[in-house]
Amino acid sequence: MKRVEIELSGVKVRAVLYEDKAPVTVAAFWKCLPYEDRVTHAKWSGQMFHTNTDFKVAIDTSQWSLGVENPVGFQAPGDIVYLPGAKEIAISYGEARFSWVIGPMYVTALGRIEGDLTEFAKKADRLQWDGAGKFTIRPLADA
Amino acid sequence: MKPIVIEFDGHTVRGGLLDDLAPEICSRIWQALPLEGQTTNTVWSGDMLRLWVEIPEPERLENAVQLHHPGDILFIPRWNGLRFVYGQARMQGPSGGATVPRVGRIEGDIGPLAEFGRKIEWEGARLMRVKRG
Repeated sequence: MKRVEIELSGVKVRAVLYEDKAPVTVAAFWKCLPYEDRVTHAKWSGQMFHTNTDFKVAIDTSQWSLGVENPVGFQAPGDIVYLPGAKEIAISYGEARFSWVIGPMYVTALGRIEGDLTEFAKKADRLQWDGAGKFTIRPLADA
Repeated sequence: MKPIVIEFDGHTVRGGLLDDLAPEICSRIWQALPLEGQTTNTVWSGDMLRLWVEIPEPERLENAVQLHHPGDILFIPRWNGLRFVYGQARMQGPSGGATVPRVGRIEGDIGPLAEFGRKIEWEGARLMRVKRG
């Protein structure tokens, strides 16, 4: 099972990736790690933030009827989602639904944060007040 | 239309309150001026800024609209403060779009406001001041 460590503005959490439900996307994502970026708060999706530097992956999305693998239309706190068209991931820390100008969008459920989200959520919420935050994803054991 | 001046980040833009279309709300805003507070982007509504100030709540909705245009100034009952539209935006929350009062318009180029919105996204909240024009 693939796991990652996610760090946002100095707060670290661990997450599991859905290798069984989204094998193509997770495999492509895994090759991009470690990944560093400055993330910004969502403007359309509620309590969620997103990356701004493209993940350098090339996924053939035509193989899925909705254009994404393991599609979801709602997110719970701690959910990690991927939007192939924008090559970005987004992480929910509260009440959120991935959306853009025309409304909610299907995204790939890529994984979820495990354990207590409290301190991570506080840092995520500060993004709307403090601006972009430092964000890192590091690979952990693949077992 | 009651003239107002909006100052932020070294910029000054002019606008007006639509007191002919939303007389009660605009009167409450006018009486509350000058207003100064922190400004952030909204988290559900797109290219829209929220000025975090307190304005006495109106008795009823006036000039309520569902779609907004760049340059619109909105007042959101129960969520208070003023909203400034600087691009593609729609006042909404988790349950979808909201019908809200359009209480004013910014005149002329809104480029500086859009630049302000993007700057806040990356650098954090900034002060905005609204006063009588």
